[in-house]
Amino acid sequence: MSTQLTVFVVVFGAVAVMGFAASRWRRPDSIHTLEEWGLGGRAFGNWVTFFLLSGDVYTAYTFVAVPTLVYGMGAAGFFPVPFLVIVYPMLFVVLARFWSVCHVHGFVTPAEFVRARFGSRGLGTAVAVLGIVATMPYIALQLIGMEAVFEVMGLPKGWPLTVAFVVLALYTFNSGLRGPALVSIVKDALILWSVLAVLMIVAMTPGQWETIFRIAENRYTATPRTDDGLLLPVQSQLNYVTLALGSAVALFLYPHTLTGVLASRNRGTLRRNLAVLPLYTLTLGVLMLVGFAALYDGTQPVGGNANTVVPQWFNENAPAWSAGLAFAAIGVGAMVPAAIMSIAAANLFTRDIYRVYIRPQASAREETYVSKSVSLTVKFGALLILLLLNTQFAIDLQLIGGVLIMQTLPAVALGLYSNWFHRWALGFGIGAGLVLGIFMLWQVPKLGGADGRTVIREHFGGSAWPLSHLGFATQAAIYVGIVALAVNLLVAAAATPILRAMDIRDGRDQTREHDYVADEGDPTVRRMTEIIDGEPPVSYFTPVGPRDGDSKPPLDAYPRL
Amino acid sequence: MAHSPYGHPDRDSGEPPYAVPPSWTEAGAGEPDRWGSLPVNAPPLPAWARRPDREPPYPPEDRLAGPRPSRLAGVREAWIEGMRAEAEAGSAIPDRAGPVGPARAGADVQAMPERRIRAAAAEGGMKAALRGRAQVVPAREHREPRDQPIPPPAAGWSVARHRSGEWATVRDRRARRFAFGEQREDRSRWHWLLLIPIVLPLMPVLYNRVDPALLGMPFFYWCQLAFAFLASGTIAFVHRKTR
Repeated sequence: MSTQLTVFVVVFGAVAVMGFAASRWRRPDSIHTLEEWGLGGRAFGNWVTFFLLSGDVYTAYTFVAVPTLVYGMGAAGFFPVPFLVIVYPMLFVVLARFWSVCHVHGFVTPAEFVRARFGSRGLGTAVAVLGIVATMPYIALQLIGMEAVFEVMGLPKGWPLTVAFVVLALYTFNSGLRGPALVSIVKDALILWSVLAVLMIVAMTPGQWETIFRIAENRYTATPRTDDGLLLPVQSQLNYVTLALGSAVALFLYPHTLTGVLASRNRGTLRRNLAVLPLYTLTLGVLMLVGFAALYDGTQPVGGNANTVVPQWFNENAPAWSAGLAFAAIGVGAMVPAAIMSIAAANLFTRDIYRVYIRPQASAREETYVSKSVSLTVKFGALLILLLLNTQFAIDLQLIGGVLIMQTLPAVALGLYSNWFHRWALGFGIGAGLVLGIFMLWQVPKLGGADGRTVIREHFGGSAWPLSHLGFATQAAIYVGIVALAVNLLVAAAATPILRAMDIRDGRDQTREHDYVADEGDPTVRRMTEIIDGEPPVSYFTPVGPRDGDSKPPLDAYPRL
Repeated sequence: MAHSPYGHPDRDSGEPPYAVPPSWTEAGAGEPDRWGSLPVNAPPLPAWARRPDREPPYPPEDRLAGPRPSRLAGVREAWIEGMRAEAEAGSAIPDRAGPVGPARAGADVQAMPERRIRAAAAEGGMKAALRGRAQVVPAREHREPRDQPIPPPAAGWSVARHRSGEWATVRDRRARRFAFGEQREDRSRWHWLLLIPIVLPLMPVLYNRVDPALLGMPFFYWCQLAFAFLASGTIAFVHRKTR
């Protein structure tokens, strides 16, 4: 067994033990409620929230695929850096409101919020289904990141991946969100080490960054492609900007981000974290520059799998033990988001499909059990996609998933600010956005070959929609998601006054403005619904009694919409 | 809107703008924690944030509730005027007497022209105002909110209040439609600053160049990495300003 593999296995084993032990960490009286299993008791402080969110956002696939993009195209592949910078100021105001309203009403998923805000069960279900569909291929992508590492270490494709995922599935089943929260601390330490290793290795190369960038520039000049280079070509700029903006919007809407957000203890924790997280983008930036370093060192991907560039570069340029740590960083970095994503998808299913359509009176224990089982199913579904179908299929699905999840923006993000939209208008908007988005993705051909002009595949070849379809004589392209979202918003905004004029019934908003600013310790952070719907309480400031995990919720506690 | 003897406590001074009976502030020290299920030992509300013992019989008139029926017009205002006159006349706000509190808010008031109520209130305080034809009677049995007042708060604890000074949960009982440009509780001009780190990274015109290079790294790359510091700093600044 090579040194790399030994280090990898040792770290991975330690992480697996930690994952199982996490169920004893801050042990609750009963883990059998969705808030304990699926949100870690909503009690994570500054540090744990930081690790959890960074583990959630900066996934293994990002660390593997993005440097590959930089390796192939140069500047155009650098879009995740602006994307992961602009996303935090965008989220700063919005997420605090989301945290508050979910805390007041006990929501676990964005779909529940939409259901209560717009008084529409169907809209909530649509958001839930879109969330699940978008999340599943994202989990598969994490597997692709791990697969690249296994490939470099010379392991076969099937069983190591399966073993890793069985471990992951079991500790998620056991510990819920506490598992990835604890493991993400290890992951961040490993990533930090990998970044230091990159910086040290580059510092030891003669000429350092200057040489590396010069060599890379020469390489891009030598290729017949016109869309690569150290700087953005004019025709790539629109796509670069829209892709960064669209990815930032999508990141907010992905259910796993929101799950990580809801697990934080209070608004202050969340806001402090959003102030610090942009700095984490620096680690991603450094790892992206590995793409250039790989050009300098002449690294070639292993076995035709382009994603192996980064692990292969570590393998060739770092000491064996350090390469092992970098591999472990990617491996563990795949497990954290995969666990959170499966938990998020499972919560969506339980709270927005199972409890709404199948068993409205499900107890907290039953909910948790369903959620656990679904998280297993989701992970094995992702594994099957990867093993039985092919890698490309997962990537294509993820591409579509990003466009799908963006369509929930008017309901989720704008819904935090206003309930002006009519529920049917939002539905029409989502429908229009979906149809247009998928049609545009279908139109995009996959280009390849030496000059990047040969059509390899007719359809679903990327997310950059050429503006030449509109008759413009230009090579510029635009990110499909942004166009679909714009159409979605237009339809929703146009349909709302029409539906109101036609006197079609609006949904009933269950939330109140004050819910959106409530914080931990605020006397109004409690189940508001008995105030809204039930008998007036003795005192409006009496807190709700302890939530008992095993007893049924009172029939009138929360109106099922 | 008429000045309420309770509303609009000044957040900054921390002192309520009306006379607080001593029993509100002193009582209850050293009581056991009756807030068991609030997160970790949340200190109870300060006395001034408690629901007062006497409240005007109706919520303030606003666009939330819609226009008040004409037979009830001016009742609240008269009540407030009366309380004010009473307080000015020297009698402190009675501690635990008289009608009221929203649990009792179903109280019915018989018709009396607003003009007369106001005149009566100006003359001789609340009792005189009610001596006319208007009588406040409890609509139904109610449970006493609390036997004893709440102990004073720990230092440094602040309680979120609705901006209007009313209790949010009462005021917002009815759903309403929120327009986008509306005044919100968490609104702040400082939030506009957040646009800077959003817009700058989306303008490749600014940074799509090689010079000036840093450590051999083209401007394109290190500038975008530097935006991370800009975003972090801006968010931290806005966070401090809006906390």
